[in-house]
Amino acid sequence: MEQQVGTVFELRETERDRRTVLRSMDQCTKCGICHAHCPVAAVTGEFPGPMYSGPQAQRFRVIKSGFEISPMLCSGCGVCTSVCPNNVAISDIIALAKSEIMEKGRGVRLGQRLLNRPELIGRLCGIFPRLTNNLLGIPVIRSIIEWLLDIHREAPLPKVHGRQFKRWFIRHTQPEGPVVSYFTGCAIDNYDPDVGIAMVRLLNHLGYRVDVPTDLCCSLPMLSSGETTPARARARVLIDALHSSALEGRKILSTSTSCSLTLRSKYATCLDMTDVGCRDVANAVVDACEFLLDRHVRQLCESLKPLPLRVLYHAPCQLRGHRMGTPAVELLRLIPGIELELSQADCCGIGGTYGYHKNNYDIAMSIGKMLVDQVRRFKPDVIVCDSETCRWNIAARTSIESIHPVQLLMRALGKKFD
Amino acid sequence: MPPINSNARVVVIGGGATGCGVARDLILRRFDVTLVEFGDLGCGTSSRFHGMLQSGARYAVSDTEYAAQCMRERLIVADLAPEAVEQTGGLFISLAGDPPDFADKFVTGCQNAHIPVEELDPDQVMAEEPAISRNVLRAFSVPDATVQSWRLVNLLADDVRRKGGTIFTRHQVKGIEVANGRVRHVRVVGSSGEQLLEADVVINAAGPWSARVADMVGESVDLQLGKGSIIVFSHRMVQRVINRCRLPTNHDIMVPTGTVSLFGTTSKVVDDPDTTHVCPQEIQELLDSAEAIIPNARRYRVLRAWAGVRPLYRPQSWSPDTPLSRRHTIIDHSKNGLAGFFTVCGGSLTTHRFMAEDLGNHVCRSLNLIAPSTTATTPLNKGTKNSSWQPINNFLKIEKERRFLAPVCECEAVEQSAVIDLIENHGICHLHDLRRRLRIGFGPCQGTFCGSRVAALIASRHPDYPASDDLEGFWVERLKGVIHTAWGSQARQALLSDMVYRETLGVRLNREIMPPDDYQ
Repeated sequence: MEQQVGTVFELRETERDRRTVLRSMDQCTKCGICHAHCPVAAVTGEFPGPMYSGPQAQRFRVIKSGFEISPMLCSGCGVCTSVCPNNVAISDIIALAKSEIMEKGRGVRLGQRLLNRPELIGRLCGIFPRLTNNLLGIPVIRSIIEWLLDIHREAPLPKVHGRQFKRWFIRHTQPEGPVVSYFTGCAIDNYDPDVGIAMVRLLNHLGYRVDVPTDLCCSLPMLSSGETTPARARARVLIDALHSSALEGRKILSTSTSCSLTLRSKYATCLDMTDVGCRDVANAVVDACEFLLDRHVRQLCESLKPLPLRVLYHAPCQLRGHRMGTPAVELLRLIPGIELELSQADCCGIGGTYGYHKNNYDIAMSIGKMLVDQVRRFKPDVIVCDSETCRWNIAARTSIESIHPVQLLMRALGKKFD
Repeated sequence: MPPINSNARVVVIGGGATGCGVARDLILRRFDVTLVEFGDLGCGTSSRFHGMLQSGARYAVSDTEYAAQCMRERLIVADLAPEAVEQTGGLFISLAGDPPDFADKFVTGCQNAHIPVEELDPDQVMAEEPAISRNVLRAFSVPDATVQSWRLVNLLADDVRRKGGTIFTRHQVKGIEVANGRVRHVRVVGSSGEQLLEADVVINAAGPWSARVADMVGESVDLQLGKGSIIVFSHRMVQRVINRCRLPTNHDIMVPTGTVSLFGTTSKVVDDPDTTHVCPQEIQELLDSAEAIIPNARRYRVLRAWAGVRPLYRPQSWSPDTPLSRRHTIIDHSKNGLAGFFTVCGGSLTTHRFMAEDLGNHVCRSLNLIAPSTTATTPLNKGTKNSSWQPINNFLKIEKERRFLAPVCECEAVEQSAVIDLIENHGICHLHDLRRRLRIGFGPCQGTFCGSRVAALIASRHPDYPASDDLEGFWVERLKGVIHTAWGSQARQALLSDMVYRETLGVRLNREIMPPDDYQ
């Protein structure tokens, strides 16, 4: 049997699998560009940097693996992979190393396990949302949580909304029209209903009927902290739930760049799921802004009204992994009257659930300092970012409203929320 | 009977595994030993091979007695110098198309040679070694190992020094003076000028150069020089030494060593022992054969290629078809009327100790002394039992101590402290000599980033160290190997590396890298 080999350079994102990811270590010329760009290596000497931790250390891992701890400090932001001139899948190599460490080493701590199941937290806390939110505002409670679950006492926890999006969506009447699927992930349903509502309304405005096939989590938190086996099981259920949409030729929209990246490439690279179902879904998934920019620029131009706001746009790190540029920036530029500045920071620091862990919190805060400083200088009215955990982090640290690009588009369309 | 203090002065010419082994054997028999090496220890054939510590299984069918000898010696070497040996284990795989009856002969041969052999489930082997061919029909495990030849040679040499022997490296033998049918003096030239070494016995252990040494006293040594080329893949594709289950031929071994894998070896008769250029067609031959074991071997990154010269004994009286043995030969030149001059040739690194013992016995016999060899039982390292060598030891140490800024060479995880120790405490201040001892520059970047770091460390301790010259020599030597395999990502690497040396470091390359046009 011929073995499937080749450089990552020759393969499309969805055709990458574990083997090609690991093989890409051979492409490294040790130029050090990734190291120079790594937000984590810039603020701590405890992390040896992506070049060392990725392709270089992998040469030792093929002999004996799972005996390190330093890769755990990688935030998984993926800046390294995006700047690599030789197409080494650096952050995926480190992600695979993390899962080996977890399998062979100390295992996943209880707190991380809990963080890895955001929908479970959302459901539990969503039973009494107001009570939970109030409790989580009390410093003593947060200290206890830190002690019990390793979640740093100052980490920016989102407000729990108790399935507000789902309740709204069931009662919401939609126009007849072409159907698109919307993958909400766990965040929209439990923590960030406003983004979901804005997205559905915007799609309705553009004449679509929105179908929400599932509210399952994409399992990225598990995957990036090394809980590979449950992540794979969860991913399988999700793929089955989304496959019919893909088979009907519908696009599956996502407002979270990290969820969509997981579906598009991480299942293949980190979980080695490369069957037809996964490929179909991966090819059907599209980022919301990418979709809008691709199909509805003229329509939007005609209906967007001036919005005199100072807007800072922060591109989340996972956006790079899509290799599609910054569609949100193109869309925001369509809004007349806005004063747009782009974030100079590669990463806000939070890295999904990375910065929540008490060991990583200080590193996350140091990484985010560049963005906070820029916010202080520019003094925006609103900060726009595609990724939910980044928004929660930025809002907590700057006290400035942080929203998704489609929310700003809705405002520019003059539409009101419920 | 206790060893006799003979006071006989012995000069050993050649500082490879054989020479160092002989020096150690003779010093343990209480001779006064001086070793002369024209370059650095172990820089000839001893390091220019595939780095395998043979279990002998390779020769189990063709030469069972030699195989048994290898097995015996392999255990002794691993016991004496565990820090130079990695117990990788070896595999013999029968692929579709290999002679079907060979496997059974192989098992019988191994049993006759007392080599522990075990048949494995081919499916399990293919699962454990994902890079190898999926056409494995039968698989056998044997106790092959790999050896860090420079480390071994230096351990032997250190022991010789500790016991009062003298070792001259970078000293060239200019002449051997003979009087009344006996050797008297060896004239050597080194950095400190010319010296006359008194000698009752001269041992010619110069490997492929031994014919030249013998020529100085008008003697001839009939050698057939076989150039063997090897290619290096950039990571460990296999965890065990992989052999083909068939009669040993050219290019059929894959050896994991350090963080890389070697594949070899070609065989080509040459005249000049200094021939170390690799020809393009040899690379193609190697890749063709590698593809039988590793499908798509051409798609993997090949770091470099190098060649060494095997000195095989072939008396002129033999017909050209006589198969050449891997066993060693000792020539006592007193039968030609020259007393005190011995040549040892052939053999292998695995059996170097046995060769030395055999030679020592010849020397003792010629001097009418009784002094048994004690090399197999005398500990090599000051009595301390070191744990066996693992290529990831350094890597794990850096990880454990969180000294991520300390490595001077990331490819091989070599720490600054190791380099400083050799510079300050052992007086080693050449890039090449440090490279051989620490594996600096052996990884994918081939010395692109470690060269200047190490040079800076030397310069900070030796103000008159000629850094530019040494860096040039270092990079030219790296480039000589890289240039043969510079396609794909290694071409990209070579361009980056060359840029770093020429543009950033301002090193001017004045030496010839490519072989001459008429080179065959």
